[in-house]
Amino acid sequence: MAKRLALSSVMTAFAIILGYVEALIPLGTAIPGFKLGLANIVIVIVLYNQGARDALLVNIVRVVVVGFMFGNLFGIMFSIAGALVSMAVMAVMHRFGFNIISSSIYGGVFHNAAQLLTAAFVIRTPVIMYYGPVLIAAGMITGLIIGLVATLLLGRVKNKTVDYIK
Amino acid sequence: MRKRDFIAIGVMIFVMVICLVIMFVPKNTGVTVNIIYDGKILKTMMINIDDTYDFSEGGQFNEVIVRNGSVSITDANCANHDCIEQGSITKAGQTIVCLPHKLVISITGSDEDIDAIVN
Repeated sequence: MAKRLALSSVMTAFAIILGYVEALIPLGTAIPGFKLGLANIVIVIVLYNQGARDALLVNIVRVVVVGFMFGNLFGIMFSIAGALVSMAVMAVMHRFGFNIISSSIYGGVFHNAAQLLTAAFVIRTPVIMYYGPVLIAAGMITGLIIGLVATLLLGRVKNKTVDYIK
Repeated sequence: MRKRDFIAIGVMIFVMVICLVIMFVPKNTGVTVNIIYDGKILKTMMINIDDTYDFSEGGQFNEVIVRNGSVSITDANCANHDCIEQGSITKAGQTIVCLPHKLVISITGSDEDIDAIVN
């Protein structure tokens, strides 16, 4: 239990650092809301290594900390909507035996879809669905990249962490 | 990779193709520019007539400029200035969004009814 807590803490710190790196890269200008989702590398690794409960905890702590450090309350609302929906989708896919790459792609797509719906709700106009196809395609590509990186990373850390905590 | 992963990724490739088709369908020429705040149309302008609109609501400010058939937000007091960085738009269906101010600039074509779009 203590080892599991320690590992979750390290992973949370890792996710927060990636959130910081992400805040340094100005990508959301051409397409509003577009992000790489680097922190999701950590989330999928925790999901496949430690399970959905730990992944959810790491995710929530990450969103709140990164939101207050580099964003604002308004941004946190969007981050939470995206994080929770993509987390739920990825947890279900993990449960049904899909691999990291599939989960990550769907996570990326549903993350962006959830944020777009939140935005449409906030501004009370469906016209911004105009961004739907761009954001869904973008979520697919970033999800694929994140999934590939996480697969490579998990292959390398597996022997050192998974066996260690069990 | 198991069979289910191939199916999952196959579905996504299909969705991707649909998205790309929608993205690259030629868009109609814009006719009217609608300033939508909190779901309501505040002002409608013609895209071929140069004009300026200063949006101001509860201390929130955005300057919308129509110039040479294109629309852009040139000044704003929102936190992230995403609306300015979205640049200018010209075609029907395109939008500029200022999320913090709940402001949308939307262009409609000749054959569209803006009421149907805004509900």
